[in-house]
Amino acid sequence: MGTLENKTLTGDYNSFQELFLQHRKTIYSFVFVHVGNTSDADDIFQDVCVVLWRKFDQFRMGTNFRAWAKQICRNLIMDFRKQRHRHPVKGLDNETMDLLVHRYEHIQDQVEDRLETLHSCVDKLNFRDRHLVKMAYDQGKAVKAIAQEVEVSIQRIYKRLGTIHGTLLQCVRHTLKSKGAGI
Amino acid sequence: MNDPNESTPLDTLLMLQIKGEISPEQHAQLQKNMSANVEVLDYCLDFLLVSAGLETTCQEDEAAAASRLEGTLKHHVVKLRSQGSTAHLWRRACKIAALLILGCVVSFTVLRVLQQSRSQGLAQVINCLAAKWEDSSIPTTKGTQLAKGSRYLAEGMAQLKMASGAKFLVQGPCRFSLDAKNRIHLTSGAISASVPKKARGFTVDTQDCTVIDYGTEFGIRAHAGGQTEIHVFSGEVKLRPNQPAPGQDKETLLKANQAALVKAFAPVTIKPADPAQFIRELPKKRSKAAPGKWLDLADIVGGGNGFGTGTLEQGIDVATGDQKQVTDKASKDQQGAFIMLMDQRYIDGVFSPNSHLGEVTISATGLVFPECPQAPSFYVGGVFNQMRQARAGANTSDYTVLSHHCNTGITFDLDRLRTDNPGVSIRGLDTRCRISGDIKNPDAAMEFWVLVDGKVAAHHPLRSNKRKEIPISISFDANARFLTLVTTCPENTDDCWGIFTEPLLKLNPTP
Repeated sequence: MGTLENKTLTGDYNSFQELFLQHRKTIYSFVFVHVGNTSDADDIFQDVCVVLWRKFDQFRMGTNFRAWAKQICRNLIMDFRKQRHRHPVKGLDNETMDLLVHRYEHIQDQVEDRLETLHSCVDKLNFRDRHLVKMAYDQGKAVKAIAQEVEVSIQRIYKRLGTIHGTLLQCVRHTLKSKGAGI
Repeated sequence: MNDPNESTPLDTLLMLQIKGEISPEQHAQLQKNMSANVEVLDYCLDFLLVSAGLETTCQEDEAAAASRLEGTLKHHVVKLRSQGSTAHLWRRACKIAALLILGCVVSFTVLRVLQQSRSQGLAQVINCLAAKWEDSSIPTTKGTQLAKGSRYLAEGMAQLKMASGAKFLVQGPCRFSLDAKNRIHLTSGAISASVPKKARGFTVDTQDCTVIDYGTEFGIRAHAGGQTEIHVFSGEVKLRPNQPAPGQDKETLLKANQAALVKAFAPVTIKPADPAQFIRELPKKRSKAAPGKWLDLADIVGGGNGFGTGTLEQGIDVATGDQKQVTDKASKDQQGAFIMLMDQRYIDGVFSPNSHLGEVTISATGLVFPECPQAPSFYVGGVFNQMRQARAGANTSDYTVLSHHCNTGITFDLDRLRTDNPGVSIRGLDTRCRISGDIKNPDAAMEFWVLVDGKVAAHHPLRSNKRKEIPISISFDANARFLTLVTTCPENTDDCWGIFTEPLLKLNPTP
């Protein structure tokens, strides 16, 4: 097994990069659904990048990269949960997360379609909502910073962002249903 | 899906959970909701997927994701190496120095990679003309890759090519941001876009609307205070006002040769497109004109927008108001009437000044030129856009001139120029005047006049035997409406040409 130290970012790195970029959105979504918040998802996703690369010489080209990556994600998420158990933090408990994950298993084949559809749904938002999404995600601004910038309360921003997510969710569901995707 | 019986809506609870800001009470409420039934659970799952999708869809394009991956991996190389073995302290001590050096080298490399990857961005500068960028620490010369983010072109022009293949020409002053590989936001200023089939869907957002391209050529001008104009030169675009008027369609399809004016809560106004208002390619002939800095009146006389889109050797017959070539036979007319030019957006009108025939009108609003001398001439030509070559060895480049036949006058409409050049104020005129060197008559005489809103701002009588060139530099009020250039000739001169060299309006960016 190659270690990260003696691997250089050349040679099979190009293959790795290509596969990783192709599946990164699905992988991130997988992690996100398993932890339920942005901060933990970002941390785990970073670890996933490193472990996937470190173990990339175990991956057989031509087999399913996404399935292989998900297995590695599962291991890292389990480690994370164990740590969290020792140092409880705010978040959904493991039982609730298990329920979510169980439901996720049913729709995991649709995730790519959903992400694609989401893109066009964002385009349909009105200017103000799109601007808010842009600040929250594109520019990565904290809710507090957004609230200061647009001069409204933090609670209102949370509420508005929640409503926008709800609108996008309905748009994705509706669009996929009209395409016969069985939502 | 919000439960009215609960104190905080489910959507808000989920947002708080996602951002890690949920309180214990809200947390308990959310857990209770989620375990209530499968429908709610599925809703929460979809909600999380939307958030995950926004994180990955909005935040990064492929190039940025690639560089982030590379950065993450290189960062871990440094981290792992610096952990090292602790078995032999003396060896460790020896290694520290090496590690420090290595750390520096790797950090430097990572920084460089990050810097490079940042520049492997969404668009590339493919050409520039007199471009001056501000608010940007990244060099934006020809060939530079531009990453996601805001840009301000203060002066000049720049042609950019998006990662999708869509090209657009930015005309300073222009503030815009590159948002994704096929999407930009135009805050203020003008651009013209040329979109190949593969980049179909190229999207421009402005404060007032979203314009989605269907494989076409179009121009957009956005005013910082709100109001967007879209001119379609070929193909079609979809126009979606952000705040449509009550009862108005949410989308409008604009076809070739159509233009639209979009304002918040006002009906979209459709009118014919005017391609001359936009720079669609960088001018081949260089002049001093540059958007945001200098606007060339000679170019306007050639049918252009003041920045090199006009035709050289083309002008206007002051007796008829028709466009003509400099080689065309001159008209003979004695009416001296002011001719309003309906098809020349920036020219109010032309006239043949001769007070012998009565009051000389110089604008469509009825301004007159009482100082105008009597001119016996019945032979009038026109005003023309021409270019002169710099003298060999001279430390100057070629320059444009506005050639006036004797007894010709032209009035420019500064208001329209202001409307079509958002972000700048027009505060003065710089030019030089002289009698053409081609005039053989040593006694030929000509008077050069510049009027602002009917008031004489400059007046220079010249004789051909002096071969003098007089500089003219005048300032005018930010609200001045009409600028008039006139040449008049006395009895003994009926065929003479006067030259306004580099007749340039001074443009100042407005805050």
